[in-house]
Parts: sequence; C-alpha cells; structure tokens
Amino acid sequence: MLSIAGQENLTSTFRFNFSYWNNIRENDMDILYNHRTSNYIHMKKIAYFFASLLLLACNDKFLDIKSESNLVIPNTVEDLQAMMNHHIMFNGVCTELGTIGSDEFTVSDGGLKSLSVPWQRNGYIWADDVYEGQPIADWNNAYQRILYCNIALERLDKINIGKQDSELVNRVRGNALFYRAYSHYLLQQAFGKPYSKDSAPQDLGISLKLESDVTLRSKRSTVEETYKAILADLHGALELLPLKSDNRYTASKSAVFALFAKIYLEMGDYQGALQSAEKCLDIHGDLLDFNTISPELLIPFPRKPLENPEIIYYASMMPSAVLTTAYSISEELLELYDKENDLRKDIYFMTESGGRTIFRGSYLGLGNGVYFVGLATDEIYLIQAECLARLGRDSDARAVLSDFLRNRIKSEVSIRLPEEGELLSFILGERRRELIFRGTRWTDLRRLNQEQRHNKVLKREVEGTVYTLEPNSKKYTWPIPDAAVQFSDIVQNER
Amino acid sequence: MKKIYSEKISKSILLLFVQLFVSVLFSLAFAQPKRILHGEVRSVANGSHMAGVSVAVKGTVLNTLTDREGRFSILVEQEKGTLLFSHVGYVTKEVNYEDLSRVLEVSMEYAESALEEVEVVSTGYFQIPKERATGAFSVLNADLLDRSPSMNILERMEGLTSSLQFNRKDATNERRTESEIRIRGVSSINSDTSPLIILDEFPYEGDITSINPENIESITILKDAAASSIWGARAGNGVIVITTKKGSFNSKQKINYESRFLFINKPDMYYDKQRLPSQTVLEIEDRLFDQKIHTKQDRLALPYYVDLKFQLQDGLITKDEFDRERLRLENIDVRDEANRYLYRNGVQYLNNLGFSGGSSTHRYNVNISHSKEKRAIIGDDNDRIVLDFSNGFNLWKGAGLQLSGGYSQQKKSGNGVSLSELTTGGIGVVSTYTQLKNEVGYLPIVRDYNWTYVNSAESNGLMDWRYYPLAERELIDKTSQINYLRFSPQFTYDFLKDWHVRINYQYQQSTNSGINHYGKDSYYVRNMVNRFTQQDGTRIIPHGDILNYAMRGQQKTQALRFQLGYNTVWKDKHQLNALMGTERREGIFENEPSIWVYDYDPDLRLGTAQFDFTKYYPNRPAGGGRVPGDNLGTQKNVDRDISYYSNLSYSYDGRFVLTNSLRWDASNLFGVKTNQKGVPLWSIGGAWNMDRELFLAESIFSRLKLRATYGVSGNVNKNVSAYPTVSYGTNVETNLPMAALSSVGNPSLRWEKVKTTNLGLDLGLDLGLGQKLHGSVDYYIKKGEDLLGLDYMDPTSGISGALRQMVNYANIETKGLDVDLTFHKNFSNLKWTTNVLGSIVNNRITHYSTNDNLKATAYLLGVGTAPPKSDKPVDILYALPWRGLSPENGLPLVLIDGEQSSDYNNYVNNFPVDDLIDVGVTVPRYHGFLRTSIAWKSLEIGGMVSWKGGYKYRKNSMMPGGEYQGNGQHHMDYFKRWEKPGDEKNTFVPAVTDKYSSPLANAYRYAEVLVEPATNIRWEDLILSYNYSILSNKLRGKVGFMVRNLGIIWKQSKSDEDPDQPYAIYSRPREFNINIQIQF
Repeated sequence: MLSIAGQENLTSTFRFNFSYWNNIRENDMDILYNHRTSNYIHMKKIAYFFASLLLLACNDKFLDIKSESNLVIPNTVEDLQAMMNHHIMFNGVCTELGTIGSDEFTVSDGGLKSLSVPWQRNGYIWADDVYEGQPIADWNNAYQRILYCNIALERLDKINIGKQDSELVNRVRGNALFYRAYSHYLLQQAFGKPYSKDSAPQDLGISLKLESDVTLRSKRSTVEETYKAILADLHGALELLPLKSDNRYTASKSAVFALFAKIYLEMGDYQGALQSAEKCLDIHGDLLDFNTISPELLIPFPRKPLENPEIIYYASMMPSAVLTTAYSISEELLELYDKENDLRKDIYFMTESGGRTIFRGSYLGLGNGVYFVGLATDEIYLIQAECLARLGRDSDARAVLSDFLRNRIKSEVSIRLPEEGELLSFILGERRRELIFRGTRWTDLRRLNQEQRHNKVLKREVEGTVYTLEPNSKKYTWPIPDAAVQFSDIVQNER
Repeated sequence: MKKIYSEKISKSILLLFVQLFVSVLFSLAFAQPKRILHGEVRSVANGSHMAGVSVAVKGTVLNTLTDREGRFSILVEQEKGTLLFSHVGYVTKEVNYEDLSRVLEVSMEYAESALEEVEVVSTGYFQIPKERATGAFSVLNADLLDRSPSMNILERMEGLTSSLQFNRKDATNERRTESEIRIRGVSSINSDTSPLIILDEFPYEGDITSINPENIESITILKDAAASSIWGARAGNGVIVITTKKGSFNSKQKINYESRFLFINKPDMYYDKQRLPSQTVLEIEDRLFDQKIHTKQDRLALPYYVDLKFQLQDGLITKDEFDRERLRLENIDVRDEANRYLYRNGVQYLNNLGFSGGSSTHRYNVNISHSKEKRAIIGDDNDRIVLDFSNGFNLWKGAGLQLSGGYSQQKKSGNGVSLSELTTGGIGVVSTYTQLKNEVGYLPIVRDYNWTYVNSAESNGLMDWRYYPLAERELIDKTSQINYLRFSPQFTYDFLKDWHVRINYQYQQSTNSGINHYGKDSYYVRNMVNRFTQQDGTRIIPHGDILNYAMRGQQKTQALRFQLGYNTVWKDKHQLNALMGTERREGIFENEPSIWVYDYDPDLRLGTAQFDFTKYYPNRPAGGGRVPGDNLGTQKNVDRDISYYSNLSYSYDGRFVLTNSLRWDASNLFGVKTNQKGVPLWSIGGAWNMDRELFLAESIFSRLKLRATYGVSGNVNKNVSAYPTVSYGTNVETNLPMAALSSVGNPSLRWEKVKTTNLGLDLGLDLGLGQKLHGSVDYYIKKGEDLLGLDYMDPTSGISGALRQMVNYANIETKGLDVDLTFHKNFSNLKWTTNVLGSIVNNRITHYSTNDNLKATAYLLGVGTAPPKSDKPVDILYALPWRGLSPENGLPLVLIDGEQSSDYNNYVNNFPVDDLIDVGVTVPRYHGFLRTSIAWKSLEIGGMVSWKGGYKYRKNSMMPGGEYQGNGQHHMDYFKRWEKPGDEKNTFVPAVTDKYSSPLANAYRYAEVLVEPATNIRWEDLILSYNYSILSNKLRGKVGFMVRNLGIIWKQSKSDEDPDQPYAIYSRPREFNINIQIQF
C-alpha cells in the first residue's frame, strides 16, 4: 500500500518540477530563492520524493533470491537423495592401507623409491610412523561419508513427510544407514583392533559417529560397541531398502545381507554368516561364467555394474600410485592357481613388457589403479562354503563350491575338490585366488591369525633388509591419523 | 524475524532523516548578512565553474570558499578593496572590487606546472576539495599515470602513492604478471583482500585489462574508514576510484593522439637455478638406472636417456650407437633451445586517439585506443580495442544529463609453448638434454607415454604418436576473447540554490569466451585417436579436426542510485555539505555449456558429435575413459545488494571540518538469517586547517592541516553459510543428480568488520628561493574483527579435504605509517622535483581461537602462508634451526631433546612448535619510492628508485635424494654439495643420498640456512622527455623515452634470486618504451 502511494508521489513530484521549472526564466531565479512559501512546498515534495525512493528500495523480496543456482540448503527428500548419490559414497571407499599391508603384491626397491606418498612407502614395510603427518583418505573419506549420512538422517527427521514420499524417504534413510554401517565397518578393519570374542568389550574399536554435530569431541568406542552399532544400522537399513538396487550403486536388502555375512564371518558367528549369505543369495545369486570371458581383452569385465551379474553393490577405491605403477602381483599368489585349468589366471593377470605382472581383472572394468571393492556374489558364495565347512556340513560346502568353480574353471574340465580335512584350507585359498585387490585380504589375515593352523608370517625384502609381520602383531591395527589424535580424545594405537 | 529486520531499516532511515533535517534547520536558522559581495569564479582553461576556490579579503581574516557552481558571497568591511583568490594548481589572483552591487566575475589560470597535488578528491559518490576532507586520500592525475607504459591501469599506479603494495612473491613471470595488491596491508585472513575498484562511480566488474589507461582523468585511493566506509561492506581493503576523462563545457575541440611502442627484452632462461647441465643430469640418471629405480611400462613416460639405457640393456641398440647418442645429449641444453625457438623479444604497440571539447550546453570526450601485444612466448598474442565516450548536456538551468560508456574487446591467442609447459607425464619437468629442432626439422620429445611404445605406434596400426612441440604450435589455434560493455547515464538536477539530485544508472556486461581448434595432424588429435583406438583397430574418434568451444561466462551488472544533496554556506563561515542516497545492485553471472565438435571440417564448418559419451572405452596404453563431450552443466549466480548511505561534512571558517558517513548494506548472502543480511557501517572525522589560523598567517606554512578519522567498514565472504548447504552437480558414474556438502553450516555467522583509526598531517612549506615542500604523513591502526577463519578440525568430524568449516573467530591488527613528501626547487630555467614515498606496515593476528596443537610441519609446509597463530603476523615465515652438516655423512645435524640424532622422521614430525624459529615475514614491512626529475625548459629527465625491506624468503636448493622425485627437483646447488669430510666447513648443501626421504629433505628445505633476507633497492626506471610546441602553441605534445626494470642496485642477500620473486622462472625483463603525444 505504502509503496504504491509513494510511487504516485514520485511521478507527481517529477511532473510538478518539470512544469514548474520550465516556466521560470533564468533571471527569475533570485525571486525564487527568496520565496519562502514555494520553498516549503518544495521541502515537502522533496520529503515525499525521498520517502518514496526509500520505500522502493526497502522491498524485502529483492534480497530473497538465491545467490548461486546450484547451491541449496538440503530441505527436501530429493536433496538428501542427491547427497546419497555423491561420489564419495561409492568412489571413495578406501581400502588402500589394508591392501598395502597384505600379501597380494610386491614392489621393487626402485619402485618403492619412486613413491612420494609416505603411507605407501611406510605401509609396505609396516613402519612405525606410517603417515608422516599427512592426512589419510582411508580415515578422512570414511568419516566424511558418515557426516553426509548423519546430516541426511537428521534432516529427514525434520522434514515433514507426506505420504507419497514415504517410499523415497525409506530409500534415503535406508541408504544413509547402510553407508554409515559400511563406513564404520571399513574403518574398523583398518583402525580398530581385530575382533576377538573374549576381549571385544575391552579392545579399542573406532570412533563411532552417530550425530552430525562437528563440534562434538571424538573418542574411541570398544570393539564390541563398534560392531553393535554397525549391526544396529544394518538392521535398521534392512527394513527400508528394496530387494535389489536398480543400478547397483545404491544399497539394497541383498547388499545388507552380504555385509551381514562378511561381518558375522569375521566375528566367528558362522551360523549367522551362513544365514545371511543364503538370504543374500536367495535374492541375488547370479554368477558370471568366466568361460564366456575373452582373456584377449585388455579389460575383461564390463564397465557398467548392471552388465556384471555378480555385482550386488558397486564401490571402488581411490586411485593409488603404488597400486598403479609400482606393484607387481606376488609370485606366491600366482603360484596358487591351477595353470592349466583356472580361467582366472589369464583373465585376471597380464605380464607387461617390463616383466611386471599386473591385475587387470577388476570388476570395475577399468585400469588406472582403481579397483572394485564393493559387494559381489562370488565372495558371498565363498562365505557360504566356508561357513558350511566350518559347521561340519562338508557335502553342502562341496556342492556350493563346485557350483561356484564351474564358473571359474574351463568348462571341459571336471572339477576336483580336495580330500576331507583339507576343504577349509582349499576354500581359504579360493578366497585368495578369487578376491584380488578387493580389500578383503587384510581382514582375512586379521581373522585367520587367531587360528594357529591358518597363521601366516608376512615378509618383505627391501634393499637387503627383511621386514616381517608376525601373526597377531599390533601392527595389524593401523595408527590413527595424527590430526585425528591431536584434536580429540582419541587414543592412539600401539605399534 | 521480519519485524526485527524492518525495525533495523527504520532505525537507519530515521538516522538518515535526522541528519538531513539538522542540515535543513541550519540553513533556515541563519539570516543573510548585510555588506556582501557576490561573485563567480571560472577557470580560464575550460570556462567551467570552479568549486572550492579560497576567497579572502586582503589584509583581513575574512574568507570563504566558492560553492559547486563557482559562486561565492563574502562579508566585506570596506566598500572597495582587494580580494585574494587561491586554488591549488592555479595561479593565485588578486582582484580589486569597487561596486558591491555587481557580481564579480573572476577567471583563474592554471599554474604552469601543477606541481602540487590535485585538489579535488573523488569518492565515487561525491567530489570534495581536499581541504575539506578529513580522511586519508591519494590522488593520482593523468600526468602521473602517463609515466608508465603498462596497459594495465593498476600496474601504472606502482610507485606513485604510498601505502599501495605490489606483492610478487609467488610470481613466475611466465604468462602474466601475477601480483597481489594491498592497500595498507591486510584486514582479513581468509576473505578476499583485494581492494574494491570503482570505475566512474560504480564497482567495476570486468577484467582490469579492459580499461584503457590512456583515458583516465584521475585515480583516488581511499585508504581509511572515513574514505572507504562510504563504500560499505566491500571497502575493508581500501578503494581505488578511477575516473575517466569527460571533456569540459565552453572549450575548444582538442584532438589528442598518442602512440607508444614498448620493447621487452627476451627473458633469460638461465635465471632459474632449478636445472643442472645436461652432462650432470646424464650422470645422475646413470646412477639412478643402476639402482633400478625405473620400471619400464607402456603408460609411463621415462626420461629419454633412461629409455635409451633400457634399449641398450635389451640389445635394441649397440653400445656404439648408445655412446654416440649420449655424446649428442651432453651438448644440448633445453634452455638454449627455448631461447631459440620458444621465446622472443616482446613488443607492444598502442595507439590512442581522443577528441574532446564542449559548447555551453554540451561537452564530450571520445577516445579510441588500439593495442597489440606480442608476448615473450612465441605464439602468445593479444589485441585490444577500447572505445570510451562521454557526453554531457546542460538540459535547462540546473539540469544536466551525462551519457557515458565504453566498449572493449580483447582477443588473445595462446598457442605458445613455454619452457615450463614442455612437461612430461611421469617425469614432470622436461629433461635438460631435450632438443626441439635440428637441421632436418622439428624433433619429437617424450610426453605422455613410454618412448619405445610411442615409437612403435605406427607398426601397431596406430597413427604417429610422437609429440613435436614446435609443430604443435602451428597445428592448434587457441583463442580467447574478453568483451566488456558499459553504459552509464546520469541525471543531475540542481534546484533551490542549495539542493541537488543525482540519479545514476549503470549497466556493465563482461563476457569471456574461448575457442580451441585442434588440427587433425596435431598431437592433441592424434593422441585422442590413438588412445581410443580399440583392440581390433577400430577408431572411436575419427581422424579429423577437433573444435572445442570453451565454457562461455557472462557477468551482467546493473545498478541504480538516487542521491539527494544539500550544500550551503551561511554567514560566510559555515559550510555544510550533506547527501543521502540509496542504491540497488544486481550482478548476474551465467555460463554456457562447453561444446565439442569432432571430425570438424573448417571449410564446410561441419562436424559431428554423434558419440556415446556415457560409454567407457578401454584406452591405450592402459585404463579407460569416456570420449570428452559437452559439459552441459550451467551455472548462474545472482548477487544483489541494497545500500542506504549518507554523508555529512561541516566546515567552520575553512578552519575546522567535521565529517560523518553512515551506511547500511544488505545483500542476498546465501544461507544467512535475514536479520544478518545487513550491516551498519559508519565513520566520523575531523580536521583543523591550521594554516588558516592567524598565528600562521605570515609563516612559512602554506598549508598545515591535522586530520583524524575513525570508522567501520567491512569485508564480504560469500563462501560461508549459516545453514548446511549442498552444491548440485551430476555424478559422472551414475548420471544421477548429486549434491556435495559445501558447508555444514555455522549458525553464528557474522560479517567481517574492519575498524580503522587514522591520524594525518598535511603540510606545505614555502622555503623561499623557489623551494617548496609539501606532503602528508598518516598513522593508522586497522583492526579486523570477527574475521572468518578456517576451523582446524578433527577429521573424524567429517570436516576434511575440500569440505571446510569457517567461523568468525579471528582478529587482526595492522598498524602503519605512510609518508608522502614532494620537494620542489626552481633555479631560473631549471626545475627540480623530488617525491619520496615511504610506508611502514605491520600486521599481527591478535586473536585466534582455534586449536593450535598443529604439528610443526603444518607451519612449515603451508603453501603460501603458514597457519595463522595469535600474536604472529599473517605473512609469517617459520624455519627449523640449522646446526650445520655432519662431518661424517654430510647430512644435516639435528638434535632431538638435546641429543644428536639421525632419526629425521622423528625430528621433523615431532618438532616442538614452540621451538620453530620465527624468521620474519614474506611481505615487506617497509617500502618506499623515490622519484625525481629535472626539467630544463622543455627537456625533462627523471627516474624512480624503489626500496623494500624487512622481509624474508625461503630459497630453493638441492634436496638430498631430490633426484628420485623427478627432474623437477634438480638445483645448481648440486655443485656446492657436501662430498667429503671437511666440506661441511665451506657449504651448507647436504650430501647426495641414495634414496628420497621427505623428513630428511624437509630438515634441510625448511632450515633457517635457506632463509634469505629480501631487503633490496631497485632502479625501476629512467625517463627522458621533451615537450614541444609549434605553430604558435597550436600544436603541442611530448616525446618520451623510458627504460624500465633497470635492475637491483643493492640487496642484502648474496643469493642469486630476485628477492621480490624468488620462484620466478626468469626475472622481469628490461623494457624500453618510446611514446609520442600530439595535441591540437
């Protein structure tokens, strides 16, 4: 109302002034100056004029426009879903430390010298100081992913949910819970003490982050609390997610069961692991027959996750220099394959002109030192077989195993499984042969260390010095990044 | 919330009105005096009315000033007498009066040499005579700006005013002059610290090189709060107000032609010490090869010589062939090659033509300038046209309209290949023994992949995969264009004697675009074709030209301003100038997608883009990728601001001045609560013109003025938000919309504030015998408060990497002193002028509340600046102590807990932060210029010397084991290295090690021994000019010659680098400039 009145006044002021001034000849100016009355009239007009200008400018809405078109406050479920679609949810899943510490590859002395990233040089020989003060993505990315999840979970609670949204809301919440659990799980594999049923209530796990408040001081939970929280998130996610993901980039019931299976196996709950694996495979049990894959291809596996039937949940690790140019697959690992009949030997590996054996068989369908580390049915079949064998159901285990191997061994060859008593070792060997650079080996070493018959001493030789990693060494738990210890109540791991 | 907001606005409005009404009351309260003489003062030069002319009755203390219209009324005691008219830059005039009833018309002549500073200060909102200013201003006029031939107006200001610092510490000199500009130091830590640039009354939103420096009338630098608070929230770093030429009423048409030719010396490639002679490089590569540090892989580029050694090892070449090739390499140096084929002498031409003049109702100025630049890198050219126009009309009595604007177009071709761009994937810097051309023709160099692999491409059914840098320059065409358009009409209306209204509007548009055309035979295209050639030989990318339209960005800004002013003089002694106004601005930035056209035929102008851009193809030699396709993501940013402002200046008897400014700024800052969108800013100031006092009436002081101001201005940071915010994009994996967290939000976010106190003294001394001294001294304290800073956080919180948290916690204090003195002496035909500028500026962080448990390495490794710390300067440089080299192995001696140790890892990573040595700052604490000239009749010779002091730099050196990190780590200090026991007495360069260890390298790299004092005195330029005048003054002009960058006269450090730019690839080349001016 006011501003309209002001505008009218503005125009009338102008009209008045124009006509008024036009009627005055220049010599009349002096008369005008002394003319008090007209002076007052003008004062009034000027006051109106300016009042109207100010009111024009006071328009509140002028400032309400968004300053950056693609910047928003995440206030809708769609915004939160978009957050769950971010790269770091599935591209930044770092299992680099564990891969560097395990026995899948070797690096030449010269290759090691060429590495500038400290944790790659130091991690390879399990040195005391691994990071040299540098930030480490295995930690930072996982916690940033957790922050995304916590913000999404908290804002979902705040958003008034209409009925038509409920399926989408469930999906976002389910994904956030799954990603949080998965991230906590990966952190625990690198930075928490290995799970042991007896000492889990005392052993230091990781710092659980269940709230988005960045000002909260971090502290470490016990291993038991860590696993409890991870399992709770997974149970929560299970209810909300669809059976299968329609693009494999997002979480699903099958992915949750797969992760349950991995976790229970690690915890030694073979019954639980078996059940989860079976539930997962009920939903998603496809295998890719390697007889249909050409070993001639530079990159044998398809790039798109939907084109590889084995992929349940797609995740990749960050590119790593040591795993691109410096590594060579260890001779010891290559010896494990049946040279005649195992299709994987030729499909997975390639010897370069310089004599280096490299791994080209990632389910990511890419080279470049980036590897698939997500969830796939091959691993779940191997979990199923292992649990059956451990639970004494050998014949069931053999059935699972031969079904699986039919897709890995040349089709014209009949599958021969080992004698009684050697079945478990064979399955564990099969895990090594199947799961290359999948981020599983470190976890397996930590787990199997606790069984004397599966113990292994890792050795590295660098410039004539031999470094060893004894079973159950404290070095199976990587140090917490320096920055995290400095700014929190987090206790550093002993080395 | 809305209520609070509108209450705040109404409060500001109320305050503005109170100011206005006070001024109105004043004007009504005083009646007219009795014995009064009226008059009007004009300038002889252009007939325009002169404001601010001091009018005094000779023999009395009665005096006044002329108003905006050049009119004055003065109280006189006698019926007849003499009036004295004076104005700086004009000849003082005595006029007798006899008849009080007649309006006295006085015209004043411009002083032959306007040696004293320009009198009128322009703030962009109003102009005031300097006499009535209380703030710290510097005014640079066209003559001064003409000194430098630079095509960048900001660069022309260097050395002309105190308090302005050009900081080139990170400059490489390779592509453009990268300098940070500071006015009176810094007032922020993480927000923008560059000054606000105003062009013709509005903030300038284009590229600075789109301004034609030849068409600038004057530049005013607003340094303190009284000056800058009128510009509000963006003015915390000082304001540079640029005014273009306008022409004047009642003046004859003038045609001004100017031509400049600038010759720039070819850069010296041997300046950079980070290279070793080829022979040494080959020896080092032999050693590394023997240690088997190289692995041969198709995808990995190895140094050419290493590949050669592999060939010898694999029996592909004979020992004889190898030896011959090695001998050839020993005698090549890529720097000679670069000097011969990559660089040249740079040249710049500038032609400028201006017309100006005016009748009683119309004035105009039209200026057109064309410049061409051939940069030192062959293939880098620049072409610029700038057109400026300004038309002023007297519509009717009191009403004026001014239409002005400009257009500028810059075309840049960037096809040049510089030495640092000859990079090699896998090695980094190109090997020193690289040859680019021989008798036969262009030579290929190692680039992205293994040399043997590249050479076998054709036998593998691929295209030639070699990279010929010199041929590439001819086969690609990269051009970019900057267009700038400005139109600003202004309507002014004076009415009722004392009042005036001004309505300003401005439209600015700045567009950046670029086209990259890669010819079919270019390496770029061949590499793309080969990479995407599939295993069965099918080509995904056709062998044809590739055309890429780079993302086109456009910035459009509109602003509208209404301003009401009231100027009055009453009782001859009281003068009041008041103005208030409001302004709205909107800036829209938009960009258009980038487009890729493959198999492009430049004749038919046809191409194709029919590819599956989502598909991943295996690439050769390894990996996979998508075909580079259009980037369809577009962006739009909208900035909106509303401001209300007022300014009040009252002076009594020309002796006492009080000023006050008040401003309220609001913007659509994203994610800020509405009641925090605005910020009130203000200033007050006072001045005492002591030279007007009786006790100084007959003294040597022609001017003596004390000034003091205090005020608050601000800084804007658009990267922070009170709420969690996400930024949308598209996930290339899934093609789904994705949102990245850009901030987790900070509910207590506030605006940054800068509080400035300034105390100043202006003085002018008439020392007799033709000697004059004038100048100013200013002391200031700038306090930045509520500054935003990075919150160093536990990465466990999720804050790490690109996601950072900013909070208002920091305070910073900058104290400084600016001195600007000009001494002038006349001996008959000889005129000698010397100008001395000096500044002292020190900053100190006074509060920093974040956790300072950071490791010592964080303080050393910080890129650019070390993490801020309370009680330390922003520009601080830390170092590790130096205890010399070990006589046993030539490695740095270090102590851990007082014990000698060789555990460098423990030493560097656990070094106590408190023991770090605070070696100084990286930006000069003192700087100054001395400019002098001697004129004999029409011949003038002059020069400038600069001085910078009180700062340090960390120099590069050879790192132990650095050669394992690639060629880029070589350094000439290699020859000074420790080789045998005893050497430690003569050198501080450590021994070569057989591997790289970053803690060991850091124990040396960051040690005190590599920190050098940077204090230096430099001869900036030498000028020779001749003013000519022929055809009885109808044709006038100037011929000038100038040499710039004459070099360092003295420096404290014995090290070779230029302390001002220690990391430059070559020092600033010497420049020679010739210019000719013709005016008729």
